Amino acid sequence: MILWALIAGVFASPGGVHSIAEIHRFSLSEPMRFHWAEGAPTMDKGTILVVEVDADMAKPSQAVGSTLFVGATPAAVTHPGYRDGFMVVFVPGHPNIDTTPVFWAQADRLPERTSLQQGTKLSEDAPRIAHRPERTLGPVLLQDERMLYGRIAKLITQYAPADADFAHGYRLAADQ
Amino acid sequence: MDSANPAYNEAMEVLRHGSLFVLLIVSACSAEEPSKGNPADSDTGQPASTAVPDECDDFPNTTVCVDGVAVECDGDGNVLTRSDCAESATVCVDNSGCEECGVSLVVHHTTDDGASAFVAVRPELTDDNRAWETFHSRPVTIQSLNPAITDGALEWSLLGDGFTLIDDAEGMAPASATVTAHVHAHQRGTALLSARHSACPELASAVGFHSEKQPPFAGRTRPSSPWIERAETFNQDDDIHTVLHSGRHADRVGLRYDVYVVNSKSASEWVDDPDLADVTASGRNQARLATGGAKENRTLASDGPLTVGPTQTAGFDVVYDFDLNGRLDPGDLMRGGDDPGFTVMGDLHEAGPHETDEFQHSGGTWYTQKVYYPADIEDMDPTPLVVISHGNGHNYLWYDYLGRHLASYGYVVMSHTNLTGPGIETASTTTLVNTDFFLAQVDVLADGVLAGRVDSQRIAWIGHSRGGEGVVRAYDRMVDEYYANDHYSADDIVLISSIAPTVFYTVEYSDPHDVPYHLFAGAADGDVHGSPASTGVQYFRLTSAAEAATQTTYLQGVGHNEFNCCGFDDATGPAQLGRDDTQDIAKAYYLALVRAYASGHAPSLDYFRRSADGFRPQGLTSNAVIANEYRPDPTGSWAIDSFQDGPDPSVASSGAAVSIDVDAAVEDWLADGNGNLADRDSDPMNGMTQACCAGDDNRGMVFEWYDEAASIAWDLPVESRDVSSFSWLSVRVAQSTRHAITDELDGPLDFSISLIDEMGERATVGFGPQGRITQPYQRSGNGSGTGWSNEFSTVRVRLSDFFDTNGIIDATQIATVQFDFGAEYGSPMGRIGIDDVLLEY
Repeated sequence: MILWALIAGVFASPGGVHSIAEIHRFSLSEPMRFHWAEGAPTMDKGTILVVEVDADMAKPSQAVGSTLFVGATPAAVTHPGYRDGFMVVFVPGHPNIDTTPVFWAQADRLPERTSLQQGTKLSEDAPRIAHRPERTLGPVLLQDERMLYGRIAKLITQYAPADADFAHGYRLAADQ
Repeated sequence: MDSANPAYNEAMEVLRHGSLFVLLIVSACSAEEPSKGNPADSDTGQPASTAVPDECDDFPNTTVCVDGVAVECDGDGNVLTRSDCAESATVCVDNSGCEECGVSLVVHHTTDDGASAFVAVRPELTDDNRAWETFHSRPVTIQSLNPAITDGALEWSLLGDGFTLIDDAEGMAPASATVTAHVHAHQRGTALLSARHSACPELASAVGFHSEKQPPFAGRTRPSSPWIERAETFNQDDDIHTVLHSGRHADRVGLRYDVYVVNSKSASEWVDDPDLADVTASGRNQARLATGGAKENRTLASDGPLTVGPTQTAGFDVVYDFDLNGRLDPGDLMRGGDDPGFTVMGDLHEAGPHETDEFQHSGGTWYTQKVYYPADIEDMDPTPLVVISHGNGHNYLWYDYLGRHLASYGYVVMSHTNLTGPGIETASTTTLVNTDFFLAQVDVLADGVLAGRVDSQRIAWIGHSRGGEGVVRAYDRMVDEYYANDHYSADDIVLISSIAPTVFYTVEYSDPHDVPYHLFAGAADGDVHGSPASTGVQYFRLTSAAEAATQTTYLQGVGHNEFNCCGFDDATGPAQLGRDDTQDIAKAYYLALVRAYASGHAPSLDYFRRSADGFRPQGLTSNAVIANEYRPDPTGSWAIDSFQDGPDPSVASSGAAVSIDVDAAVEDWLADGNGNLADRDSDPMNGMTQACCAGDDNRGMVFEWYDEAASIAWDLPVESRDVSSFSWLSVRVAQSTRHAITDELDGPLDFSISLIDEMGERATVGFGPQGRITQPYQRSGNGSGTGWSNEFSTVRVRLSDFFDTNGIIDATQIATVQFDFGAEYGSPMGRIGIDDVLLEY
């Protein structure tokens, strides 16, 4: 019984992602740098995902640990998320989430040093789960990085109230 | 020989140029001379015209001097006696006779046994410090031995390298004068003050002086030689003793003196007001310097704790008043004035004297800051800035405990949002730009409350985790890559402290360079765990790379997130301290650290330079096992052996020949050989995490002993045997984790250190009572066995301890430095690694 529950748990959320609660597509009036990938490319549009995750995998590590990928791209993690089991993340562009894997992977390097090739290789083995987000919005036009994080702050407050400190800081910046 | 009597001289000239009678009279000069001449005429009673003239003719009833001969004349002008004064080492004085002649040299506060008088080594004399330095000099009274000799002059001079005579009379005075001159020394050595009277220049007098460093007067008692651990910093709950060593001050043995502990004053304050006001609970102590060294001459300074006030620190000066007059005078002994004689610390983890305020502001998503400051900052001088850069998954709001604590002691603290998720480069960027942004805005923030109150040239960076590497990387970018900020430069960073930092980059890119560097880490860290299993968590690589003063505070039973308020519980291992105790420790040590490097409060450094096993901030949990590692700035030390120069253990980096009488000695890179903590013969450096990767070059030695005496000795090069200018001998030591001998010892470890001079005189000091080498943290994992990565502690012994133990040993001719192991010297067995055997100034 216990063994079956364990096996069921593993296969219930392959890649450590249970579901995607919301997707918000956005564009930016002022492009920003995306620091979570090698080269810190500039982005003028992106996608926010509210992801239900395995809490243990979501616990932030200082050392190189698990990295959340959306396709070949490390996702920008905006708060820890493990307390409530939900994380609000974003990536550049508007990937088709139906066909793009969203998964945790044990990376061997920090996101800022993860190239597209390395991300692609990791995603090749990632489980393809057809997520059905409860809510999909956008694209909405946001002014800049501050306003992006302001929007993210609202989602953190809604889905991960235990991470209120993070929402607080983003809101403070957005309100300036 | 001419007399001082002009009339006599004239008379003698007449006689000399007169008849043969003169020649006969002079040549017949002797001790006893029959009364002169011819008998009186029997009829007239008048002298016959044939009477023989002599020296007394014109000097009846007196004594005249003729060529050093005292001629006593009777009332009739006849010679009564002649005395050759030279035969009795006297001089002839007209109207008096043979008199004692010479100069009396009386050194103040010495006994009469002729011992050389001690003078403390002081800064070189200048016009500006003359008044103050006179207090530290040895007064000598110079006067004629015989006040009857009123003519002539006294002359004196001091001979000795490094000595100066403070002397308003400039070496000469009339014979009737009484002069006090002061002997001052600015380097170690000996000197001779000699003096003579012009009336008897061949009869010179002399007194000898010797100078050496005067170690602190205050200390904590020890149960064995050297009987006292001298120190400059104490906790308020320490039993502080004062001491005067009769070996160093042999010239004062037997003398009484009053011991005063007074509130510390500056040199100029002492000059203006030398009165002594004891502040101890029991009042001034009285003592008499006895033979028997330090053991017989220790005095409890105070029956109760000394007052430290709300700043939790206070300085005190110590005066040994030998003239018992309640004043500091030349000839008394004192420590203080330049710096406090000693400093007492209270509960550093308690809030300080300032109420605090705080506010938040933002200039963008990654420019959001929380600022803590003393509420009365407008009344303060510009104060240093402390910047906190958090770690991955952490938050800028999680360091209230530290921000408020430091602000309560007068510092401005700024904690900022830190972009650590992508990695170290972005983390370093956020540290750099947030510091710059704050300084750009500081005059307008919070309605200008901080305007002009922040000293941008004294900035301390504290980083946690990835932020801990981020602050190092940020500094490296300024130094190596010329990253330029608008409002500060690398020179303005006075301290970097990393809490459990990652080490993703090689030390070529994460390099503390020449800024004072501190590492805080917990042995129970479940994230940046510090084991050799991963290169990115071996944070001792950063301390190894640091070039300036480096200190480590390593806490057993502490995890990664105890240093903030709200991270998840990651601690792994036994005897966990928990968040509250950990943060008390952090508050106390960070206050000391920031005070030391941002405020120049040197006494606070003792919490990092001395073994935490023996000395730590008071009021902290007694359960805390702390390993302190300290390495001084290289300009403040000379390495007997840094182990950096090659694998041959028989030759030290200094060129000293090394005699190895221990087992299994291996000199190599301080790097675990297999990434696993299990003990293996094939991995002698098991548990070492000071090096692992490109750019790491820290080397050391490991060895062991078991149930018998053993030793390792460095025979110093001939040109390096004068250690008298140094103050400390130090070495970094760690027990080898999971080794069978370490497991069998099962506890802290100690040994003894010996100095042996060229004549074979030996002084041995066991450092155990000052603090022992910690047992590795008993955490399992990363291989079989129990014990976490090797944790170094610095053993630091004051050189004066050796000379107090054996006063015969010659500090200028130390031939050998030896570590002695075995039950007679400390732990009966041990397996240890050592690094950096140093002599420190």
